[in-house]
Amino acid sequence: MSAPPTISETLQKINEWEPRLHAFLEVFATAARQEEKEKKPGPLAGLPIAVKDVICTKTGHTTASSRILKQFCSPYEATVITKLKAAGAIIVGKTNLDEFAMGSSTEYSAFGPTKNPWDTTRVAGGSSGGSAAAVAAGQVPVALGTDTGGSIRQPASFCGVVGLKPTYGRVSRFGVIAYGSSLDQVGPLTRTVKDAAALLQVLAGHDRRDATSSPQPVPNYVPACGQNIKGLSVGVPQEYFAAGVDKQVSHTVHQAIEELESLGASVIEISLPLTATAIPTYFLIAKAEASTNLARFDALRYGPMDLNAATLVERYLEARGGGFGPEVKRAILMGTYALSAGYYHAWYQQASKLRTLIRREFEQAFATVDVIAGPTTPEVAFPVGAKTDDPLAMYLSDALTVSQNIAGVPAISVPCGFIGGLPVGLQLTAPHFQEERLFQVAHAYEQSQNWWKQHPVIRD
Amino acid sequence: MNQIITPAVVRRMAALSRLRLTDAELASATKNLASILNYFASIQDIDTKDVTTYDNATQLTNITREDKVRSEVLCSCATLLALAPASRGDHIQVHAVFDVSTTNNQ
Repeated sequence: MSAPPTISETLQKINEWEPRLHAFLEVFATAARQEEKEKKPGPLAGLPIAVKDVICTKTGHTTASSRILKQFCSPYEATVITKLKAAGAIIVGKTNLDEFAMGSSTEYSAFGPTKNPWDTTRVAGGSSGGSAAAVAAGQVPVALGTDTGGSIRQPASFCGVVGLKPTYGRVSRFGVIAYGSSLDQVGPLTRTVKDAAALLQVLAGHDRRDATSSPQPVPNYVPACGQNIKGLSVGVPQEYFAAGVDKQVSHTVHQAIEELESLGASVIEISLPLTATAIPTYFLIAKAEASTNLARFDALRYGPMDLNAATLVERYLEARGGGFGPEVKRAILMGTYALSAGYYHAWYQQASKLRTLIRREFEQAFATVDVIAGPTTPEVAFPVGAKTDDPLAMYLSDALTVSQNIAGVPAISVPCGFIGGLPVGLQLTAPHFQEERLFQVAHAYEQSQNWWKQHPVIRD
Repeated sequence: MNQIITPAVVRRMAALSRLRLTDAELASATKNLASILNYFASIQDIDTKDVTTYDNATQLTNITREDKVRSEVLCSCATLLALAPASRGDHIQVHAVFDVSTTNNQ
Protein backbone atom coordinates (compact mmCIF):
# COMPACT_ATOMS: atom_id res chain seq x y z
CA MET A 1 0.00 0.00 0.00
CA SER A 2 1.06 3.60 -0.48
CA ALA A 3 2.53 5.39 2.57
CA PRO A 4 -0.32 6.13 4.98
CA PRO A 5 -0.99 9.62 6.35
CA THR A 6 -0.02 10.29 9.96
CA ILE A 7 -2.66 10.28 12.69
CA SER A 8 -2.30 14.08 13.05
CA GLU A 9 -2.93 14.56 9.32
CA THR A 10 -5.88 12.20 9.53
CA LEU A 11 -7.43 13.97 12.52
CA GLN A 12 -6.98 17.32 10.80
CA LYS A 13 -8.79 16.07 7.70
CA ILE A 14 -11.56 14.68 9.86
CA ASN A 15 -11.95 18.05 11.60
CA GLU A 16 -11.99 19.96 8.32
CA TRP A 17 -14.66 17.85 6.67
CA GLU A 18 -16.74 16.65 9.58
CA PRO A 19 -19.01 19.72 10.01
CA ARG A 20 -19.99 19.33 6.35
CA LEU A 21 -20.36 15.54 6.20
CA HIS A 22 -21.16 13.95 9.56
CA ALA A 23 -19.36 10.79 8.47
CA PHE A 24 -18.27 9.88 12.01
CA LEU A 25 -20.22 9.01 15.15
CA GLU A 26 -17.11 8.83 17.30
CA VAL A 27 -13.42 9.65 16.77
CA PHE A 28 -10.75 7.89 18.84
CA ALA A 29 -8.16 10.71 18.76
CA THR A 30 -6.33 9.84 21.98
CA ALA A 31 -6.27 6.09 21.41
CA ALA A 32 -5.14 6.55 17.80
CA ARG A 33 -2.28 8.89 18.77
CA GLN A 34 -1.19 6.40 21.44
CA GLU A 35 -1.26 3.46 19.01
CA GLU A 36 0.76 5.44 16.48
CA LYS A 37 3.53 5.87 19.08
CA GLU A 38 3.63 2.11 19.62
CA LYS A 39 4.71 1.66 15.96
CA LYS A 40 3.28 -1.81 15.62
CA PRO A 41 4.75 -3.60 12.57
CA GLY A 42 2.67 -5.47 9.99
CA PRO A 43 1.35 -5.29 6.44
CA LEU A 44 -0.91 -2.35 7.40
CA ALA A 45 1.57 -0.65 9.79
CA GLY A 46 0.36 2.80 10.79
CA LEU A 47 -2.65 2.74 8.45
CA PRO A 48 -5.50 4.86 9.84
CA ILE A 49 -8.83 3.14 9.26
CA ALA A 50 -12.44 4.06 10.06
CA VAL A 51 -14.94 1.35 10.96
CA LYS A 52 -18.69 1.26 10.39
CA ASP A 53 -20.42 1.50 13.75
CA VAL A 54 -22.10 -1.87 13.39
CA ILE A 55 -18.78 -3.64 13.98
CA CYS A 56 -17.89 -4.14 17.64
CA THR A 57 -14.80 -2.40 19.01
CA LYS A 58 -13.63 -2.41 22.62
CA THR A 59 -12.77 1.27 22.26
CA GLY A 60 -15.73 3.64 22.42
CA HIS A 61 -19.35 2.79 21.67
CA THR A 62 -20.96 0.48 19.13
CA THR A 63 -24.40 1.93 18.40
CA ALA A 64 -25.50 0.60 14.99
CA SER A 65 -26.80 4.20 14.66
CA SER A 66 -29.75 3.22 16.84
CA ARG A 67 -31.22 4.93 19.88
CA ILE A 68 -31.64 1.48 21.44
CA LEU A 69 -27.84 0.98 21.50
CA LYS A 70 -26.88 4.59 22.20
CA GLN A 71 -25.11 3.65 25.44
CA PHE A 72 -23.73 0.28 24.32
CA CYS A 73 -20.02 -0.43 24.76
CA SER A 74 -18.95 -3.83 23.51
CA PRO A 75 -17.05 -6.04 25.98
CA TYR A 76 -15.27 -7.75 23.08
CA GLU A 77 -14.19 -6.87 19.56
CA ALA A 78 -15.04 -8.28 16.15
CA THR A 79 -12.57 -10.68 14.53
CA VAL A 80 -11.98 -8.18 11.72
CA ILE A 81 -10.90 -5.59 14.29
CA THR A 82 -8.48 -8.05 15.93
CA LYS A 83 -7.04 -8.84 12.50
CA LEU A 84 -6.64 -5.18 11.50
CA LYS A 85 -4.87 -4.36 14.76
CA ALA A 86 -2.59 -7.39 14.44
CA ALA A 87 -1.66 -6.13 10.96
CA GLY A 88 -0.65 -2.76 12.43
CA ALA A 89 -3.71 -0.69 11.40
CA ILE A 90 -4.99 2.07 13.70
CA ILE A 91 -8.74 2.39 14.26
CA VAL A 92 -9.44 6.15 14.23
CA GLY A 93 -13.17 6.08 14.74
CA LYS A 94 -16.63 4.72 14.05
CA THR A 95 -18.65 5.80 11.04
CA ASN A 96 -22.31 6.63 10.56
CA LEU A 97 -24.81 4.22 8.94
CA ASP A 98 -28.50 3.65 8.45
CA GLU A 99 -29.90 2.23 11.69
CA PHE A 100 -28.88 -1.44 11.96
CA ALA A 101 -27.53 -1.14 8.38
CA MET A 102 -31.06 -0.91 6.95
CA GLY A 103 -31.20 1.74 4.28
CA SER A 104 -29.55 3.17 1.20
CA SER A 105 -28.78 6.77 2.14
CA THR A 106 -27.59 6.87 5.80
CA GLU A 107 -30.66 9.09 6.42
CA TYR A 108 -32.16 6.37 8.65
CA SER A 109 -29.36 6.93 11.20
CA ALA A 110 -30.81 7.95 14.57
CA PHE A 111 -27.98 10.48 14.78
CA GLY A 112 -28.53 12.40 11.52
CA PRO A 113 -27.57 11.76 7.89
CA THR A 114 -24.12 11.69 6.27
CA LYS A 115 -23.71 14.04 3.30
CA ASN A 116 -21.96 13.34 0.03
CA PRO A 117 -18.55 15.08 -0.18
CA TRP A 118 -19.05 15.77 -3.92
CA ASP A 119 -22.26 17.68 -3.20
CA THR A 120 -23.37 18.10 0.39
CA THR A 121 -27.02 18.56 -0.62
CA ARG A 122 -26.94 14.90 -1.72
CA VAL A 123 -26.83 11.65 0.22
CA ALA A 124 -23.67 9.58 0.66
CA GLY A 125 -25.61 6.38 -0.01
CA GLY A 126 -25.95 3.63 2.50
CA SER A 127 -25.94 1.90 4.65
CA SER A 128 -22.11 2.32 4.89
CA GLY A 129 -22.48 6.01 3.97
CA GLY A 130 -20.16 7.28 6.71
CA SER A 131 -17.34 4.96 5.62
CA ALA A 132 -17.77 5.86 1.93
CA ALA A 133 -17.89 9.61 2.55
CA ALA A 134 -14.89 9.46 4.90
CA VAL A 135 -12.74 7.70 2.28
CA ALA A 136 -13.96 9.92 -0.58
CA ALA A 137 -13.16 13.09 1.37
CA GLY A 138 -9.76 11.76 2.39
CA GLN A 139 -10.60 11.85 6.09
CA VAL A 140 -9.16 8.34 6.16
CA PRO A 141 -7.41 6.37 3.39
CA VAL A 142 -9.53 3.24 3.98
CA ALA A 143 -12.60 2.13 5.91
CA LEU A 144 -14.63 -0.96 6.71
CA GLY A 145 -18.26 -1.36 5.77
CA THR A 146 -20.80 -4.15 5.72
CA ASP A 147 -22.90 -5.21 2.75
CA THR A 148 -26.20 -7.06 3.10
CA GLY A 149 -27.78 -5.89 -0.19
CA GLY A 150 -25.35 -3.31 -1.55
CA SER A 151 -24.43 -1.37 1.58
CA ILE A 152 -20.74 -1.19 0.64
CA ARG A 153 -21.03 -0.95 -3.16
CA GLN A 154 -23.89 1.55 -3.42
CA PRO A 155 -22.32 4.25 -1.18
CA ALA A 156 -18.93 3.54 -2.81
CA SER A 157 -20.56 4.28 -6.17
CA PHE A 158 -22.31 7.42 -4.86
CA CYS A 159 -19.09 8.76 -3.31
CA GLY A 160 -16.64 7.75 -6.06
CA VAL A 161 -14.56 5.19 -4.17
CA VAL A 162 -13.85 1.47 -4.48
CA GLY A 163 -16.13 -0.84 -2.48
CA LEU A 164 -15.86 -4.62 -2.26
CA LYS A 165 -18.40 -7.13 -1.02
CA PRO A 166 -16.51 -10.39 -0.62
CA THR A 167 -18.02 -13.85 -1.14
CA TYR A 168 -20.42 -14.79 1.67
CA GLY A 169 -18.25 -16.59 4.23
CA ARG A 170 -14.94 -15.11 3.02
CA VAL A 171 -14.70 -12.71 5.98
CA SER A 172 -15.71 -13.49 9.56
CA ARG A 173 -18.92 -11.89 10.82
CA PHE A 174 -18.05 -12.50 14.47
CA GLY A 175 -18.68 -9.30 16.41
CA VAL A 176 -20.70 -7.71 13.61
CA ILE A 177 -24.23 -6.77 14.66
CA ALA A 178 -26.44 -8.94 12.48
CA TYR A 179 -28.98 -7.64 9.95
CA GLY A 180 -29.60 -10.52 7.52
CA SER A 181 -27.31 -13.27 8.73
CA SER A 182 -27.32 -15.29 5.49
CA LEU A 183 -26.47 -12.16 3.47
CA ASP A 184 -24.15 -9.96 5.59
CA GLN A 185 -20.48 -9.56 4.69
CA VAL A 186 -17.76 -7.18 5.89
CA GLY A 187 -15.61 -5.52 3.25
CA PRO A 188 -13.26 -2.62 2.49
CA LEU A 189 -13.94 0.85 1.06
CA THR A 190 -10.78 2.36 -0.44
CA ARG A 191 -9.52 4.84 -3.01
CA THR A 192 -7.81 2.21 -5.14
CA VAL A 193 -8.42 -1.41 -6.10
CA LYS A 194 -4.97 -2.39 -4.88
CA ASP A 195 -5.75 -1.05 -1.40
CA ALA A 196 -8.96 -3.11 -1.37
CA ALA A 197 -6.92 -6.20 -2.26
CA ALA A 198 -4.37 -5.48 0.48
CA LEU A 199 -7.14 -5.02 3.01
CA LEU A 200 -9.02 -8.18 2.01
CA GLN A 201 -5.73 -10.06 2.41
CA VAL A 202 -5.82 -9.17 6.10
CA LEU A 203 -9.57 -9.61 6.63
CA ALA A 204 -10.19 -12.90 4.80
CA GLY A 205 -10.03 -16.36 6.26
CA HIS A 206 -11.72 -18.93 8.42
CA ASP A 207 -12.69 -17.98 11.95
CA ARG A 208 -13.72 -20.67 14.38
CA ARG A 209 -15.95 -18.12 16.09
CA ASP A 210 -18.07 -17.82 12.94
CA ALA A 211 -19.35 -21.19 11.74
CA THR A 212 -20.38 -19.62 8.41
CA SER A 213 -16.84 -18.45 7.64
CA SER A 214 -15.22 -20.55 4.95
CA PRO A 215 -12.22 -22.87 5.34
CA GLN A 216 -11.37 -22.19 1.66
CA PRO A 217 -7.66 -21.15 1.47
CA VAL A 218 -6.99 -17.42 1.08
CA PRO A 219 -5.02 -16.67 -2.12
CA ASN A 220 -2.57 -13.81 -2.63
CA TYR A 221 -4.86 -11.01 -3.74
CA VAL A 222 -2.47 -8.13 -4.44
CA PRO A 223 -0.61 -9.77 -7.37
CA ALA A 224 -3.94 -9.97 -9.23
CA CYS A 225 -3.68 -6.17 -9.54
CA GLY A 226 -1.48 -5.68 -12.55
CA GLN A 227 -2.34 -8.82 -14.47
CA ASN A 228 -3.69 -7.99 -17.89
CA ILE A 229 -7.21 -8.95 -18.87
CA LYS A 230 -6.55 -10.21 -22.41
CA GLY A 231 -8.84 -13.07 -23.27
CA LEU A 232 -11.13 -12.67 -20.24
CA SER A 233 -14.81 -12.70 -21.07
CA VAL A 234 -17.07 -10.04 -19.61
CA GLY A 235 -20.80 -10.77 -19.51
CA VAL A 236 -23.13 -7.78 -19.81
CA PRO A 237 -26.69 -8.60 -18.71
CA GLN A 238 -29.27 -6.66 -20.68
CA GLU A 239 -31.44 -6.49 -17.53
CA TYR A 240 -28.81 -4.33 -15.80
CA PHE A 241 -29.56 -1.56 -18.31
CA ALA A 242 -33.33 -1.95 -18.30
CA ALA A 243 -36.07 0.49 -17.38
CA GLY A 244 -35.36 2.25 -14.10
CA VAL A 245 -31.68 2.70 -14.91
CA ASP A 246 -30.82 6.31 -15.73
CA LYS A 247 -29.82 6.79 -19.40
CA GLN A 248 -26.68 8.73 -18.56
CA VAL A 249 -25.63 6.07 -16.04
CA SER A 250 -26.18 3.40 -18.72
CA HIS A 251 -24.13 5.39 -21.21
CA THR A 252 -21.26 5.99 -18.77
CA VAL A 253 -21.08 2.33 -17.77
CA HIS A 254 -21.25 1.18 -21.40
CA GLN A 255 -18.21 3.37 -22.09
CA ALA A 256 -16.37 1.66 -19.22
CA ILE A 257 -17.27 -1.74 -20.67
CA GLU A 258 -15.93 -0.62 -24.07
CA GLU A 259 -12.70 0.26 -22.29
CA LEU A 260 -12.53 -3.29 -20.91
CA GLU A 261 -12.86 -4.49 -24.49
CA SER A 262 -10.04 -2.23 -25.66
CA LEU A 263 -7.91 -3.68 -22.83
CA GLY A 264 -8.32 -7.11 -24.44
CA ALA A 265 -11.42 -8.56 -22.80
CA SER A 266 -14.20 -10.00 -24.92
CA VAL A 267 -17.63 -8.60 -24.16
CA ILE A 268 -20.62 -10.91 -24.39
CA GLU A 269 -24.22 -9.87 -24.00
CA ILE A 270 -26.01 -12.17 -21.56
CA SER A 271 -29.39 -12.35 -19.87
CA LEU A 272 -30.25 -12.71 -16.19
CA PRO A 273 -34.05 -12.77 -16.40
CA LEU A 274 -34.56 -13.16 -12.65
CA THR A 275 -32.99 -9.75 -11.97
CA ALA A 276 -36.47 -8.23 -11.66
CA THR A 277 -37.37 -10.64 -8.86
CA ALA A 278 -34.24 -9.83 -6.86
CA ILE A 279 -35.69 -6.88 -4.92
CA PRO A 280 -38.73 -8.75 -3.51
CA THR A 281 -36.66 -11.89 -2.88
CA TYR A 282 -33.95 -9.96 -1.11
CA PHE A 283 -36.15 -7.78 1.07
CA LEU A 284 -38.40 -10.64 2.17
CA ILE A 285 -35.39 -12.71 3.24
CA ALA A 286 -33.44 -9.82 4.77
CA LYS A 287 -36.39 -8.48 6.74
CA ALA A 288 -37.40 -11.95 7.93
CA GLU A 289 -33.88 -12.52 9.23
CA ALA A 290 -33.79 -9.02 10.72
CA SER A 291 -37.04 -9.55 12.59
CA THR A 292 -35.53 -12.52 14.40
CA ASN A 293 -32.07 -10.96 14.85
CA LEU A 294 -33.60 -7.86 16.44
CA ALA A 295 -35.58 -9.88 18.99
CA ARG A 296 -32.57 -9.69 21.33
CA PHE A 297 -33.11 -5.96 21.88
CA ASP A 298 -35.48 -6.54 24.75
CA ALA A 299 -34.43 -4.09 27.49
CA LEU A 300 -33.06 -7.05 29.44
CA ARG A 301 -29.93 -7.96 27.54
CA TYR A 302 -29.64 -4.81 25.38
CA GLY A 303 -31.37 -1.49 25.36
CA PRO A 304 -32.46 0.98 28.00
CA MET A 305 -32.96 -0.47 31.47
CA ASP A 306 -34.37 2.57 33.25
CA LEU A 307 -37.96 2.09 32.18
CA ASN A 308 -41.10 2.66 34.23
CA ALA A 309 -43.01 -0.24 32.70
CA ALA A 310 -45.02 -2.34 35.16
CA THR A 311 -44.89 -5.72 33.39
CA LEU A 312 -42.41 -7.56 31.24
CA VAL A 313 -44.46 -7.14 28.07
CA GLU A 314 -44.82 -3.44 28.84
CA ARG A 315 -41.02 -3.23 29.08
CA TYR A 316 -40.59 -4.83 25.67
CA LEU A 317 -43.19 -2.57 24.08
CA GLU A 318 -41.74 0.58 25.59
CA ALA A 319 -38.07 -0.17 24.90
CA ARG A 320 -38.62 -1.39 21.33
CA GLY A 321 -41.30 1.12 20.43
CA GLY A 322 -39.15 4.00 21.61
CA GLY A 323 -35.74 2.60 20.64
CA PHE A 324 -36.19 1.64 16.99
CA GLY A 325 -36.61 4.07 14.10
CA PRO A 326 -39.14 3.85 11.25
CA GLU A 327 -37.24 1.61 8.80
CA VAL A 328 -36.28 -0.86 11.54
CA LYS A 329 -39.90 -1.03 12.69
CA ARG A 330 -40.97 -1.60 9.10
CA ALA A 331 -38.39 -4.40 8.81
CA ILE A 332 -39.64 -6.10 11.96
CA LEU A 333 -43.27 -5.85 10.86
CA MET A 334 -42.56 -7.08 7.33
CA GLY A 335 -40.30 -9.87 8.51
CA THR A 336 -42.77 -11.02 11.13
CA TYR A 337 -45.49 -10.97 8.51
CA ALA A 338 -43.45 -12.97 5.96
CA LEU A 339 -42.68 -15.62 8.59
CA SER A 340 -46.15 -15.86 10.16
CA ALA A 341 -48.38 -18.88 9.89
CA GLY A 342 -50.73 -18.33 6.96
CA TYR A 343 -48.31 -16.02 5.10
CA TYR A 344 -45.07 -18.04 5.31
CA HIS A 345 -45.58 -20.16 2.18
CA ALA A 346 -46.59 -17.28 -0.04
CA TRP A 347 -43.83 -14.93 1.06
CA TYR A 348 -40.78 -16.25 2.90
CA GLN A 349 -40.76 -19.74 1.41
CA GLN A 350 -41.36 -18.44 -2.10
CA ALA A 351 -38.48 -15.97 -1.66
CA SER A 352 -36.23 -18.76 -0.42
CA LYS A 353 -37.06 -20.87 -3.51
CA LEU A 354 -36.37 -17.91 -5.77
CA ARG A 355 -33.05 -17.58 -4.03
CA THR A 356 -32.18 -21.07 -5.26
CA LEU A 357 -33.13 -20.03 -8.81
CA ILE A 358 -31.17 -16.75 -8.68
CA ARG A 359 -28.08 -18.57 -7.44
CA ARG A 360 -28.48 -21.10 -10.26
CA GLU A 361 -28.84 -18.28 -12.79
CA PHE A 362 -25.45 -16.87 -11.74
CA GLU A 363 -23.86 -20.33 -11.91
CA GLN A 364 -25.16 -20.77 -15.44
CA ALA A 365 -23.90 -17.34 -16.48
CA PHE A 366 -20.46 -18.06 -15.06
CA ALA A 367 -20.26 -21.22 -17.15
CA THR A 368 -19.75 -18.92 -20.15
CA VAL A 369 -18.27 -15.67 -18.78
CA ASP A 370 -15.49 -14.83 -16.31
CA VAL A 371 -17.03 -11.71 -14.82
CA ILE A 372 -20.32 -9.85 -15.11
CA ALA A 373 -20.31 -6.07 -15.59
CA GLY A 374 -22.96 -3.38 -15.20
CA PRO A 375 -23.84 -0.26 -13.23
CA THR A 376 -23.65 -0.42 -9.42
CA THR A 377 -26.71 1.79 -8.99
CA PRO A 378 -29.60 2.84 -11.24
CA GLU A 379 -28.84 6.54 -10.67
CA VAL A 380 -26.26 8.87 -9.12
CA ALA A 381 -26.51 10.15 -5.52
CA PHE A 382 -29.99 11.59 -4.92
CA PRO A 383 -30.84 14.73 -2.93
CA VAL A 384 -31.14 14.49 0.86
CA GLY A 385 -34.78 13.86 1.76
CA ALA A 386 -35.82 12.67 -1.72
CA LYS A 387 -36.77 9.12 -0.69
CA THR A 388 -37.13 9.08 3.09
CA ASP A 389 -40.94 9.06 2.92
CA ASP A 390 -41.09 6.48 0.13
CA PRO A 391 -39.52 3.25 1.39
CA LEU A 392 -40.21 1.37 -1.85
CA ALA A 393 -38.28 4.00 -3.86
CA MET A 394 -35.45 3.67 -1.35
CA TYR A 395 -35.47 -0.14 -1.77
CA LEU A 396 -35.29 0.19 -5.56
CA SER A 397 -31.99 2.05 -5.32
CA ASP A 398 -30.53 -1.38 -4.44
CA ALA A 399 -32.00 -3.03 -7.55
CA LEU A 400 -28.59 -3.88 -9.06
CA THR A 401 -26.73 -4.87 -5.90
CA VAL A 402 -29.01 -7.29 -4.03
CA SER A 403 -28.66 -10.25 -6.44
CA GLN A 404 -25.02 -10.77 -5.47
CA ASN A 405 -25.94 -11.09 -1.78
CA ILE A 406 -28.78 -13.46 -2.62
CA ALA A 407 -26.36 -15.69 -4.55
CA GLY A 408 -23.44 -15.12 -2.15
CA VAL A 409 -21.05 -14.11 -4.95
CA PRO A 410 -18.41 -11.34 -4.63
CA ALA A 411 -18.78 -7.96 -6.34
CA ILE A 412 -16.85 -4.70 -6.50
CA SER A 413 -17.79 -1.14 -7.40
CA VAL A 414 -15.09 0.95 -9.06
CA PRO A 415 -15.44 4.63 -10.12
CA CYS A 416 -16.06 4.99 -13.87
CA GLY A 417 -16.96 8.63 -14.46
CA PHE A 418 -19.15 11.54 -13.42
CA ILE A 419 -22.57 12.87 -14.34
CA GLY A 420 -23.03 16.53 -13.40
CA GLY A 421 -20.16 16.32 -10.93
CA LEU A 422 -21.51 13.17 -9.24
CA PRO A 423 -19.63 9.85 -9.39
CA VAL A 424 -20.81 6.75 -11.28
CA GLY A 425 -19.77 3.21 -10.34
CA LEU A 426 -18.99 0.21 -12.53
CA GLN A 427 -19.96 -3.02 -10.78
CA LEU A 428 -18.12 -6.26 -11.49
CA THR A 429 -19.35 -9.62 -10.19
CA ALA A 430 -17.39 -12.89 -10.10
CA PRO A 431 -18.09 -16.51 -9.10
CA HIS A 432 -17.78 -17.60 -5.46
CA PHE A 433 -14.29 -17.06 -4.01
CA GLN A 434 -12.99 -15.46 -7.23
CA GLU A 435 -12.17 -12.06 -5.70
CA GLU A 436 -8.83 -12.19 -7.53
CA ARG A 437 -10.67 -11.91 -10.83
CA LEU A 438 -12.51 -8.82 -9.56
CA PHE A 439 -9.22 -7.20 -8.53
CA GLN A 440 -7.62 -8.11 -11.86
CA VAL A 441 -10.36 -6.54 -13.98
CA ALA A 442 -11.14 -3.60 -11.69
CA HIS A 443 -7.47 -2.67 -11.35
CA ALA A 444 -6.86 -2.90 -15.11
CA TYR A 445 -9.83 -0.61 -15.73
CA GLU A 446 -8.95 1.81 -12.92
CA GLN A 447 -5.36 2.26 -14.09
CA SER A 448 -6.46 2.89 -17.68
CA GLN A 449 -8.47 5.91 -16.46
CA ASN A 450 -7.94 8.93 -14.22
CA TRP A 451 -11.16 8.76 -12.23
CA TRP A 452 -9.44 7.45 -9.12
CA LYS A 453 -7.14 10.50 -9.01
CA GLN A 454 -10.09 12.90 -8.65
CA HIS A 455 -11.14 13.88 -5.16
CA PRO A 456 -13.79 16.22 -3.78
CA VAL A 457 -12.73 19.57 -2.31
CA ILE A 458 -14.32 21.75 0.35
CA ARG A 459 -16.27 24.41 -1.52
CA ASP A 460 -17.18 26.95 1.14
CA MET B 1 -53.19 -8.19 -2.69
CA ASN B 2 -53.75 -4.73 -1.25
CA GLN B 3 -56.45 -5.98 1.08
CA ILE B 4 -54.02 -8.33 2.83
CA ILE B 5 -52.39 -5.51 4.77
CA THR B 6 -54.96 -3.90 7.02
CA PRO B 7 -54.42 -1.97 10.25
CA ALA B 8 -55.56 -5.11 12.11
CA VAL B 9 -52.85 -7.21 10.47
CA VAL B 10 -50.18 -4.64 11.26
CA ARG B 11 -51.42 -4.37 14.84
CA ARG B 12 -51.19 -8.17 15.13
CA MET B 13 -47.59 -8.21 13.77
CA ALA B 14 -46.66 -5.38 16.15
CA ALA B 15 -48.06 -7.36 19.08
CA LEU B 16 -46.24 -10.54 18.00
CA SER B 17 -42.95 -8.68 17.71
CA ARG B 18 -43.47 -6.68 20.93
CA LEU B 19 -43.40 -3.34 19.18
CA ARG B 20 -45.46 -0.40 20.41
CA LEU B 21 -46.73 1.74 17.54
CA THR B 22 -48.39 5.13 17.83
CA ASP B 23 -51.59 5.69 15.81
CA ALA B 24 -49.61 7.68 13.26
CA GLU B 25 -47.00 4.90 12.99
CA LEU B 26 -49.73 2.30 12.55
CA ALA B 27 -51.29 4.31 9.74
CA SER B 28 -48.02 4.89 7.91
CA ALA B 29 -46.81 1.30 8.41
CA THR B 30 -50.09 0.01 6.96
CA LYS B 31 -49.81 2.28 3.95
CA ASN B 32 -46.13 1.55 3.30
CA LEU B 33 -46.33 -2.21 3.83
CA ALA B 34 -49.37 -2.44 1.56
CA SER B 35 -47.55 -0.64 -1.25
CA ILE B 36 -44.32 -2.62 -0.76
CA LEU B 37 -46.02 -6.04 -0.61
CA ASN B 38 -48.23 -5.10 -3.54
CA TYR B 39 -45.03 -4.54 -5.54
CA PHE B 40 -43.48 -7.75 -4.17
CA ALA B 41 -46.56 -9.85 -5.01
CA SER B 42 -45.25 -10.43 -8.56
CA ILE B 43 -43.00 -13.19 -7.20
CA GLN B 44 -46.05 -15.30 -6.50
CA ASP B 45 -46.68 -15.73 -10.23
CA ILE B 46 -43.41 -17.63 -10.66
CA ASP B 47 -43.73 -21.40 -10.71
CA THR B 48 -41.46 -22.83 -8.03
CA LYS B 49 -43.31 -26.11 -7.49
CA ASP B 50 -40.22 -28.26 -8.02
CA VAL B 51 -37.67 -25.86 -6.55
CA THR B 52 -36.12 -26.47 -3.15
CA THR B 53 -35.72 -23.67 -0.62
CA TYR B 54 -32.29 -22.17 -0.10
CA ASP B 55 -31.33 -23.07 3.42
CA ASN B 56 -27.56 -23.21 3.34
CA ALA B 57 -25.87 -19.97 2.36
CA THR B 58 -22.35 -21.34 2.81
CA GLN B 59 -22.84 -24.76 1.18
CA LEU B 60 -20.78 -26.05 4.11
CA THR B 61 -21.74 -29.18 6.03
CA ASN B 62 -20.74 -30.64 9.38
CA ILE B 63 -19.35 -27.55 11.03
CA THR B 64 -18.01 -29.33 14.08
CA ARG B 65 -15.01 -28.88 16.31
CA GLU B 66 -13.29 -30.94 18.92
CA ASP B 67 -15.39 -31.24 22.07
CA LYS B 68 -12.83 -29.60 24.29
CA VAL B 69 -13.07 -26.75 26.78
CA ARG B 70 -11.01 -23.75 25.76
CA SER B 71 -9.43 -21.72 28.51
CA GLU B 72 -9.43 -18.40 26.61
CA VAL B 73 -12.13 -15.91 27.40
CA LEU B 74 -13.26 -12.99 25.28
CA CYS B 75 -13.54 -10.72 28.28
CA SER B 76 -13.46 -10.98 32.04
CA CYS B 77 -16.37 -11.19 34.42
CA ALA B 78 -15.29 -7.81 35.80
CA THR B 79 -15.48 -6.21 32.33
CA LEU B 80 -18.99 -7.52 31.79
CA LEU B 81 -20.16 -6.35 35.21
CA ALA B 82 -18.63 -2.91 34.67
CA LEU B 83 -20.58 -2.54 31.41
CA ALA B 84 -23.88 -3.71 32.89
CA PRO B 85 -26.24 -0.98 34.10
CA ALA B 86 -26.76 -2.78 37.43
CA SER B 87 -25.13 -5.73 39.15
CA ARG B 88 -25.27 -7.64 42.39
CA GLY B 89 -22.27 -9.72 43.43
CA ASP B 90 -21.00 -11.55 40.35
CA HIS B 91 -24.36 -11.23 38.60
CA ILE B 92 -25.87 -8.77 36.16
CA GLN B 93 -29.08 -7.46 37.63
CA VAL B 94 -32.07 -7.37 35.30
CA HIS B 95 -35.78 -7.03 35.73
CA ALA B 96 -37.78 -10.13 36.60
CA VAL B 97 -38.80 -12.19 33.59
CA PHE B 98 -41.39 -14.20 35.50
CA ASP B 99 -44.13 -12.25 37.18
CA VAL B 100 -44.99 -13.86 40.51
CA SER B 101 -48.69 -13.17 40.06
CA THR B 102 -48.76 -15.17 36.82
CA THR B 103 -46.60 -18.09 37.99
CA ASN B 104 -48.49 -18.95 41.19
CA ASN B 105 -50.20 -21.95 39.70
CA GLN B 106 -46.94 -23.74 38.77
